[in-house]
Amino acid sequence: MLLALGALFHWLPLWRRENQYFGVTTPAGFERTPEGRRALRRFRIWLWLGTAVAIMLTAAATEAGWRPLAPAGTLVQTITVIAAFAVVHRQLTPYAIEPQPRTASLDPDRERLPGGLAAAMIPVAILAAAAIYVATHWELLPDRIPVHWGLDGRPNGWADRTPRGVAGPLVVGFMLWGVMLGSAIAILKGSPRPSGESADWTRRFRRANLRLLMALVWTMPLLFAGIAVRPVFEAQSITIPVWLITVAPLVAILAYTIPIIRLSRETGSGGDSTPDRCWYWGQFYYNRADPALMVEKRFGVGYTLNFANPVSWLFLAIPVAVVFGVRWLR
Amino acid sequence: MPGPTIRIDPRAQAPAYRQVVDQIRTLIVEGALGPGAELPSVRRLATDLGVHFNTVAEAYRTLAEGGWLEVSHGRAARVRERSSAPKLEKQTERRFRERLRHLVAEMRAEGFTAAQIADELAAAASHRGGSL
Repeated sequence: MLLALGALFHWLPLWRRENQYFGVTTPAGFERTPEGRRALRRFRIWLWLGTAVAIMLTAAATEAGWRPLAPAGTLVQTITVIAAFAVVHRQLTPYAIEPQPRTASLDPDRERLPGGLAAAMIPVAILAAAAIYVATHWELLPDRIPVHWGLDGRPNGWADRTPRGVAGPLVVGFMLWGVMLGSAIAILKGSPRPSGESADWTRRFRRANLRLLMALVWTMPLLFAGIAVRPVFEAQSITIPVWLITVAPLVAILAYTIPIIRLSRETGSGGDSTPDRCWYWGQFYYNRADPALMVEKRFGVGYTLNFANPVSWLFLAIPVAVVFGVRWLR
Repeated sequence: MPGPTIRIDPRAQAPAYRQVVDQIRTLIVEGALGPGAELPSVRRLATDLGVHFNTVAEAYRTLAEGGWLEVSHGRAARVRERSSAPKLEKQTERRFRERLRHLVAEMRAEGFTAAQIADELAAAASHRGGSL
């Protein structure tokens, strides 16, 4: 897992707009200059050193049976990556160029969610139908209900046959539906629309991100509805393989993420026109003068929050609620 | 086909709201925004330009006061139909002549010849766009 993440971080700095490099607005092709190459090399050396330490920590924690220390490896790797990016970002600041002036279309806002907002309510109906189905077949439920599985397909987390335990997966599915739909709406309404020289690239990037989120709006509730009804089906000798339940979100994530990565490697994407001085460590956007809630990421593909917008803190609170939801489920 | 666009230059001397006013008025005068054309909401345009809501609200208000836009609460701002050009007053004429003098002096200082300036002014006056 840590190795796979290491490989992802190895390439991540190259998946960005053409005029953005380590969170700095630079001329196109800067990554091919000696300074650009040196910067990437430095980042990768720190990344792999951090990953090596993380792997050793995890191995030692597993060997000694210190379960609470197991996530320390992931934490070390994440902190190393954030710090390495921030250091390289600071070193590249002298090479920054002025961002392009912001442009805006005077067309009225007629952009819609892929598939439409009304269709996005159907997954909630599926969750509700699953809840009704489970409630009406309560007596078929076993005393312990599997709610989490390992990579080998064997259950490693259970909930009791109580209203809370049974409804847990459905509640988590509903919360994830809300997070995904909320993020899509935030991008649609709270991020700058495509305009200017790279409008075509921005339009395609924006649509690709919206399509990914809407795919998750559909598949996440399906996944959790499947988990909720599975024990009732099994009691009636109908087995739903776990891989079948989990494959839908995985396929959706892969199928819709690959086009975004491809776009991030295209030329002609220009810069994002946000001021460099508002990007702390090259990764966190804080601009009081900008009313945008979401802006394109400078490290990684997709969108990030403008932390100066008070609504962004509400957005941060939602994933915390989901995490607590998962704990409550257990 | 994409509609007209405006841009904010943070290095320009004019404040952001003035840049919005000038560019929208130019688009209306040149016919790129016709009577009845709907403009984006204050929130939408501010988000697209990366400026405070008040900046765009102030620009829309100024344009409405000048008779260029129709702005009412809860409805999209629209370009107003202007039946006839307002009567030109002597004082206004003097004010614009003075602004033109300064602009021409600035262009001469930047290396424009008198013929080039005349050509650019004629092109701008007939909405053709110049060679710049």
